[in-house]
Amino acid sequence: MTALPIKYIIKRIVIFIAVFFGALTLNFMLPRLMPGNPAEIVYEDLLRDSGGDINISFLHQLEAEYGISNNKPIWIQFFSYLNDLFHGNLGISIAFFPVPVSTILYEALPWTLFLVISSITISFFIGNRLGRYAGLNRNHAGDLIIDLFSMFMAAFPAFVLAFLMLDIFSVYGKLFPVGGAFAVGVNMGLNVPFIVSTLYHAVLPVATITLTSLGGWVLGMRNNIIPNVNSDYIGFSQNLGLKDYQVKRIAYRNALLPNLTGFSMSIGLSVSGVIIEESIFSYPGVGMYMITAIDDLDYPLLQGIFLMVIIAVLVGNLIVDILLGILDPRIKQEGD
Amino acid sequence: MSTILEIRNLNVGYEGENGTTKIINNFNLKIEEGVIFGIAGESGSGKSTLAQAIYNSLRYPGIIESGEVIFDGKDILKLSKRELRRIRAVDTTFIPQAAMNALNPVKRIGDQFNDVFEAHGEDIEESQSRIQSVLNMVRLSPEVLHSYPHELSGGMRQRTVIAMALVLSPKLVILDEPTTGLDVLVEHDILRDIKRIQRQKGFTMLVITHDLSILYQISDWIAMVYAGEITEYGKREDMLNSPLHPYNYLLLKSLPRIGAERYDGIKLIGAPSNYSETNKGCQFITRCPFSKNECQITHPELEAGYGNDHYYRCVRTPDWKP
Repeated sequence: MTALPIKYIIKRIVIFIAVFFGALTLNFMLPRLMPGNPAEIVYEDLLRDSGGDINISFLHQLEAEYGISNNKPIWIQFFSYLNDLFHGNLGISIAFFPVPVSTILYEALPWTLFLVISSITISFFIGNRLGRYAGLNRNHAGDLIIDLFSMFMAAFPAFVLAFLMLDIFSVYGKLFPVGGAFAVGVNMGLNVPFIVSTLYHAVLPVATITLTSLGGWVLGMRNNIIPNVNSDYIGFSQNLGLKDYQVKRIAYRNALLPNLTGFSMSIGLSVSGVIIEESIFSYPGVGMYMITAIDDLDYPLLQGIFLMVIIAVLVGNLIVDILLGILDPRIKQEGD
Repeated sequence: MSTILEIRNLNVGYEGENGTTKIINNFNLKIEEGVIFGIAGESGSGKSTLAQAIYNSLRYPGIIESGEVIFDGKDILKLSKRELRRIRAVDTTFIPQAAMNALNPVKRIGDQFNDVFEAHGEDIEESQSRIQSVLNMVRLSPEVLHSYPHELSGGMRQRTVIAMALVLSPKLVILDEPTTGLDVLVEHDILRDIKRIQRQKGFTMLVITHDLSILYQISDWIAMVYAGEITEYGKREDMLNSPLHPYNYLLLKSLPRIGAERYDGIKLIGAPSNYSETNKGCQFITRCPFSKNECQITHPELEAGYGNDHYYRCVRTPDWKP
């Protein structure tokens, strides 16, 4: 038996590639199924502004510029889309014309990933610890407090919490900045003032996302660990006189597996799920651009953002699939 | 022979909405060192409750109301959690019902053995030879140590559980339905091995079962339990050849025997007591075909049958005997 289940990992990667292509095809099809196109909107605006003094050929020019001219068969469009994609060419943004979509994503994505990964990781660890405590001390005072808090936080709308945080800590408390990812005048790069400023600006958004996602982990962990505590193997380990920490470790380890699956899902989904937090805290992540893209019918940018979300979800899944294969020996067997 | 386990006036019940339902009533039993003692009863007779109470591992809503379980001179029911943990697997051990699910699914068998050593302060390196010898005893190859539980068959998992419970050489082994869920051949093999190991190592064994064939196959001593009470107990031969309680008698008659003529006499009918109604007379009265008025009036006590080794609880013995 090897430490790494190679066969299982290869199988997961093959599935990853297949799903990725499926998602790319959908991503390609969706804008083309919608009525109208951004070139027509720009053209009509110009037409109205200029009082009808614009040639129809300008529309075709715009369409060609945006890569949405319909004079080629759909499968050729698909292949040129794929070809562009693998050369890193995601088209030109319409809202930020003529900035390439890849440039926007290159600037925005790291901020979103930073926000998402740090807050989800923090809430995953704190949530699982709290859930473990609650599940192992079921019906004690601590459990009841944790449960109430978790249910409250899980039901609390993220945008309300974001506004509250902003109001209390920034507007009135003046403890944290109201927006941005780092202070004006700080040079981007690996220097202490930049890192400090980045962390300082991230406190409120990270705290908001952490708090709103915490409840799910706590309740999930608690619900997983309770049946585990009553399981036959916990009973037997107590019969063998195992120490308390050993017994708890067995219960926790078995209860952690379902939550790990949830972890991958939330990493992926959160890339699109923090839109509200990003716009409230004016954080320059993908979510903020997504709102602009929707407002301006910026298809290339939307497509690019969707692509990022797809990649995030799939990579998240792949990582956790592999992790589960290592942590839960039963999974890799059925994959062989 | 000295007594290794003595149960005195044990009362166990389950807490419910309408107060506690008593399951075990004033239970008394002495078990001598080095024997295999079988306790048998129908489903719902309280035998698993009894086993857990003896091991002090009964969980809520099960409640031990009173009584003593003297093992090795100490009352197990009065030990602190810490003392209890220390004697487990070292002095006494418990092999549970559904032992097939008793192993941690995400850990290799070898590491689970090491957990037991770690818990009891044994050096893991020095203890590896003990694993080898105990695996040898249950006829498992050392390769299982590198396996996860799901990679083993039900019988192998059962043997692993037995090995794990015996690795620190306890003096008293309690088995609660040790072969539930195994097919008859595997069951037979495992029971034969258990008995061989017991004879080799000389520990005392308390086997709880509902299977009369298992009971008579391996036990030296047998106790029949009905509604949380012993109806009859004694040495295997006495119990098998000349039962003095109607319950034991009818149970034995229910066993088909190859070559024997078909039994068409009185049969055991009805369902076991559901503990909801208590009567002051004999607990078995609702199902006893031999009962008379006197059975309703007095609760029978255990009376000596054959010598000092045999007791039964019936006021109509030997009149009822056909």
